[in-house]
Amino acid sequence: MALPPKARDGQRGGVFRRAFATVPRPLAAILTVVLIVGLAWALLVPPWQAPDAPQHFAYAQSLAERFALPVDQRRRALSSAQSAADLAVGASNEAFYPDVVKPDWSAAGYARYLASARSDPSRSNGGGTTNASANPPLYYLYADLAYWPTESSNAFDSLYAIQIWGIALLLLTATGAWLLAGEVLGHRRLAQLACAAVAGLIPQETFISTSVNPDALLVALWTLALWLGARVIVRGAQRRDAVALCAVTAAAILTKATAYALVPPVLLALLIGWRRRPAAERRAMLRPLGFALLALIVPVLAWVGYAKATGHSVVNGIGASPGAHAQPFNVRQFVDYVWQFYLPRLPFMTRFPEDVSLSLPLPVYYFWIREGWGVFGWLDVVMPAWVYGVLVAISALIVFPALALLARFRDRLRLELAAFFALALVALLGLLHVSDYRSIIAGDGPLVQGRYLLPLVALLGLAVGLLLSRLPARWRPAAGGIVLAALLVLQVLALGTIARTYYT
Amino acid sequence: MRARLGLAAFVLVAALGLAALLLASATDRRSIAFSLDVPDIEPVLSVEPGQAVCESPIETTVAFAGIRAWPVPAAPPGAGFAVTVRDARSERILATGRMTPGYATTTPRTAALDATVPVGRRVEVCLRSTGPQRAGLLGAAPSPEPVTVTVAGKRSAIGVSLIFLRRHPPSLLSLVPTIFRRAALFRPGWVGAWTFWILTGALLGAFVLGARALIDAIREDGDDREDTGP
Repeated sequence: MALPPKARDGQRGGVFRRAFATVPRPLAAILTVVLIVGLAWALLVPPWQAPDAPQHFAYAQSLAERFALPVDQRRRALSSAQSAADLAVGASNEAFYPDVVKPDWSAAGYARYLASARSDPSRSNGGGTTNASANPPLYYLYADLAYWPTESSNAFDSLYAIQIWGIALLLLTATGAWLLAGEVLGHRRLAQLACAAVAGLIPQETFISTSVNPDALLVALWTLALWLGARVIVRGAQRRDAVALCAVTAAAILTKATAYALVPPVLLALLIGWRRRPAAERRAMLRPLGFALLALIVPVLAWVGYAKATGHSVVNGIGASPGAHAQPFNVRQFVDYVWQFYLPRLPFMTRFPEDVSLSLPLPVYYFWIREGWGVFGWLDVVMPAWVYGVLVAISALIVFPALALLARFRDRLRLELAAFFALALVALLGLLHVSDYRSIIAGDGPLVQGRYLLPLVALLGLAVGLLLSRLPARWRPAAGGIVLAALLVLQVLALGTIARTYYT
Repeated sequence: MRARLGLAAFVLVAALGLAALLLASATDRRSIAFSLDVPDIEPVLSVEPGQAVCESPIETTVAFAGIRAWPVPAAPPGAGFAVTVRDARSERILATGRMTPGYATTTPRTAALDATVPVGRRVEVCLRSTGPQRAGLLGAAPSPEPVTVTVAGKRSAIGVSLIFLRRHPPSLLSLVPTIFRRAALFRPGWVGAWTFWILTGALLGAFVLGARALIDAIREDGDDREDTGP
C-alpha cells in the first residue's frame, strides 16, 4: 500500500533514527574522531604526495573518462589536465625531495593555474600504461564515485574529492576492527574501542586511506574479512556469513593482487566453521558452503578471463630491469633473505648487494615498524627519530605480551581463531617476502613498504584489545585512556610533520 | 569511579603530549623563506675556479638573507663560492655573501648575506667559484620557468637547487597562519585557510570526543569482569 509522502518521510526518518540508535555510543564517538582526523589528512597533504598517487589518479581518470583500463602503451600516461595540474603545483618535482622542493606556495601561481585550467585541457587523453596498470579495477571504480561529480571541475577538485571519499574506507576499517574485537573478545566496549581506535588512527593508515591508493580499499576489505572469518569460526559457518566472507575476499582480490594471500585463511575459516557444526548438519552445509565459494570464485575468474582477453596483467608482474642480471629463485638464498629481514646476518649467509633493503641494519624495523606506523609522502616525510624509538618500544609492549597470552590458550575455539589469524599473517608476509625476494634477484630492487602490512592493522588493534581485556579490572580504564590519548597525540604529531615539511 | 580513572589517564597523556608538541613547535625555528623548487637530484654542471653560475629572474616571495646550495667537490677541498644578489632589472647589487671552501663530500653550503633582500623583487643570483678546485652543483633539468641559468655567460637548460633563508627564522608555531594559507592553494574551490582553522578546532574537539568514547565504553562495560570470551 502506498503511503502519503509525509508518512513515508516519517517512516524513513524513523528507520534512520533506529539504525543510528543501534550504533553503540563509543563506536559513534570514535568514528566521529576518525572522520575528523581523516578529513585533516585528506586536505592537508599536498597534491599527489603519496606513493604512486599520480599513477593511481590517472587510472581512476582513465576509467571515469574513457571507461577503459590504462593499458594502451601508445597513449600518454597522464592526461593533459592532470599533467598541467601536476606541473602547476610542482608535484612531480617535489616527490622524494620535500626538503628542497615545496608545493607552489604563491597565490599568483594558483591564479595562473586556474586561468589556464579554464581552457579545459583534456581529461580523457591519458590511459597509457603506468606502474598502477597491473592493478585490478575495483578501487578505481570506487574512487570514480567521487570523481564523476567533480569531472567538470579542475584536477584538484577531483583529486581531493577522491581523497575525502577515502575517509569512508577509513571508517569502514575502524568499524570492521570494532566488530572483530566484539566477535573475538566478546562485547567488551573498552577492548572494542581500543581495537577500532588503533585500526582507524595509526597515522600510516589514515595517510594511505585518504590518499589515492588501492591499499585504502584493500585494508578495509581485509579488516572485514578478518571479522567475517572470525564470525564464521565462532558461529559455525552460517550461510550468510560464509557468503559475505567469500564476497569480501573476492572484492579484495579485485582490488589488489596481494589479497590472494587471503584465500588460505578464508578456506581455513570455512573449514573450521564447517567442522564446528554438529556432525548431523555437516553434510547439509556442504551445499551452502559451495554456494559461498562461488561468490569468491566467479568474480575472480570473471576478472581473470577479462584481464587475459584484454591483455591486462592478472597479477603485478616482477621482471628483470633492463641490463640487470636476473638470478633464479634459490630456496636457501630466500631463507637467508627472510632471516636477514628480521635478524642480523650470520657469517655463512648470503650477502645481498648494498643497494637492497637488506643492507639496512634491521629491515624489520625500517619497513614494518617505522613505515608501518608512519612514514609519509613518497616515503620521504618522517617524524622525529625518537618517535620511532618510542614506537618500537610500544610495538614490543603489544606484540610480545599478546603472543605470551596466545601461548597460554588451551581451549579449541581460541586456538582455532588464533590459527586463522596466524595463517592470515603468515600468508600475507609470505607473499610479500616472496615478491620482495623475486624483485631483488631480478635486479629490480626492494619492493616491500610498511603500508603493505596495513591489511593486518585490525590484528594489531585486536592484540591491544586482548591485552586491555586481560588487565586487572581496576587498571583497564586508565590503560584504555592512555591508548586513546596516545593515538590522538601521535596523530597531531604526524599532521604537524606534514605541515612542517611541506609548508615551511 | 572507574570512568574517572580512565578520564584522568586520558587527560594526563593528552595534556602532556599536546603541551610537549606545543613547546616543540614554539622552539622549532624554520629558516626556509622559499625555494627555487629544483630538486637536488644530481650534479648538473661543473664550475671552474673563477666561473660564475647565475639564475635569473627569481621572484622573492619572502624576504631573505641567506642562500643554500649543494656543491659537489671534484676533489677535496671543495670550492668556495662568492654569492651576489642583484636586482634583475637595474643590476644593482642588493646583497653579497660567501660559501666557505674546504668540504670533502657533497654538503649543503650556506651563504649568509650582508643585507636582507626584500619581498616582491625580481633578482639574479650568481655563485662565482673562488676555488681551489672545480666543483659541481646539484640540481635537475629543466630550470623552472621563467628562470634561466647561465654558466660562464652561456645559457644552460638545467636548474640549480637553491634555497633562500630568512634572517630571523620564525618558530613553527608562529607560522601556523602561513601554513594554512599555503595549504589552501591548489585545493578544491571551497577550501580556504579558514578550513584548516576549523579543522584545528575539530582536532581539539576530537580529544573531547575521544574522552567521551572512553567514558561511554567504560560505563557500558560496567562491571569488573576479569576474563573474556570466547
